[in-house]
Amino acid sequence: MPPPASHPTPDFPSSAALRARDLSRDLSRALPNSCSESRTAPAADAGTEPRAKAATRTTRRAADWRALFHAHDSREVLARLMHDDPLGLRARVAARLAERAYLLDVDRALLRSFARTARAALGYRGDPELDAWLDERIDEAVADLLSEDHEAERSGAALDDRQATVFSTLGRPLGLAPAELRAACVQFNRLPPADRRAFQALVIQGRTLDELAHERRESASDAARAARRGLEALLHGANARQVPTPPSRP
Amino acid sequence: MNRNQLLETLRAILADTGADEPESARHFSLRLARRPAAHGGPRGAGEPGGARGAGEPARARGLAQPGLAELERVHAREVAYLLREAARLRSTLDPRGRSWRWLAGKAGSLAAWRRALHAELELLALDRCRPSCDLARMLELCRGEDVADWPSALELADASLALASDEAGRLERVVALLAGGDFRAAARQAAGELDPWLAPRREGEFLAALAAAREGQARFDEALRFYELALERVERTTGAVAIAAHLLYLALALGERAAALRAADALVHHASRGDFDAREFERCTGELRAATARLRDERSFGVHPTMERQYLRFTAASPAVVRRVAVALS
Repeated sequence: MPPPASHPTPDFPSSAALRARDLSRDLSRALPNSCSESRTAPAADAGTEPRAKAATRTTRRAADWRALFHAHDSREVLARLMHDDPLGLRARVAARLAERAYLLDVDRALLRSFARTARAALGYRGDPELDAWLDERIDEAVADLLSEDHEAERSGAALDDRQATVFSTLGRPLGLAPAELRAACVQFNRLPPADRRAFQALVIQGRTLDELAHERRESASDAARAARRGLEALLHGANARQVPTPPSRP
Repeated sequence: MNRNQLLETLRAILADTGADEPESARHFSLRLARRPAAHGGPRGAGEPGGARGAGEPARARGLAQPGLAELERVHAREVAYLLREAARLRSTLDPRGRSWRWLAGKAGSLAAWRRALHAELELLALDRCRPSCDLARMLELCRGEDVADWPSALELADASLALASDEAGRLERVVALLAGGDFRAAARQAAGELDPWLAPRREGEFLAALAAAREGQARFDEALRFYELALERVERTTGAVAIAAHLLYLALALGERAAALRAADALVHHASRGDFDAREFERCTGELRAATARLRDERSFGVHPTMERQYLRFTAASPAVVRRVAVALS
């Protein structure tokens, strides 16, 4: 899907190009924390766990969900889920965000996924299969947060303390204030998945253009254009929120 | 309409406050009780009698606090969703509401909605999540058998937005305003939604709602331009069929040849697609018929007899006919 016609495509004068390059470089350092598995998924979930052990764990998890979800209310299930993440939601959320190439705080997505899962748990009877059912809950959680972020941007709501800390950590290397980074992420997350994935592959994962083009079965210039739209969305969002820096006191 | 004219029009619509809508004094919210329940509260997380046994670390209880706030938000979003669906169902009852339904999607099944409401109310009770008095009263009314006794679609949409504001809820509110005949407020709300954060599809939906509101205010030229803009935004989605149908009719009625051709092209494009949905097409032609009725009966809008004949041929719901109309126009 093309970018909204109402959003003028910014020209890239030298300063903007420079900023874009810096942003790309810095994002590759900073953003894996927010959208890939590296920070959030424990090593065991990120692929180092032997396959047989993982399979055993999955089987056990599937068998255990009945006991886990057998509760008086959603709060009880929530407490169990939050205690030691028996369903491995953390790794699952991280993987889902990476797969969908969203720029979203994993911890926040995880917390909402716990709540979504707990709320739906009492009505779950094993259909669809647990994995698919959990993915649905995560998708609901992500949709909630994307909508809430958009509403917050729209209304100009201030960041809460937790979000301010997260965005401040991620925004510092990029030279972006927390509110600017949130705006940039909101704009980016509204892009079509193909553009988000192209940006993520090239900028965050550092893959080559040829690899990406081959995988997407399109020309290198089309792949680059998609990634560039991702970058433009980030810059557009950040610029929309930019506020003049107050003069420092003498 | 160029960009500057569009901005001027939007500014005028936003400034057209008329009699301000009264602020609702009602309060819609949900609150999750923080204290443990009579049955012992969240068991299992480090509390005796829990399914996962005693001896689990007590920190589990502390961890649950941010989780409870999230659970409260999830419940609020679910109830907001149910109220938005209730607004759809309620507006479907009313002929005027039905004629604007195409803007925000059809209502689902009443039986399924009742089941979902019942399940959510049970969950709220189990989780000791208490609705405010106004919300409880509204939910109680919605449990009634007769949908006509429910609060109005606008009241339901407002309550939904109070719990969790989102674009879909605000679009539903615009539709409720249109159904209530408050075209000025509908235009103002739809115009106010057009911000740079909107996705193209959603922008198209609000532009179409704005066009419908201006149509309702007998500002047909503006309505035509907004339908054209809406069509640009949603050209490749199924929502384009309904917008193109309205644009085609209005363009034919106003003698706007270029706009009529554009609309016919869009219809032909959709009619020739492999995944063309004949039922969707038929629905849209039904809406075209309703649009004619509105224009003719409510505002004595004159339709040229030749155009009327072309339009009637078009409503035969056949893609072949649409192609013939497009050929005739070109």
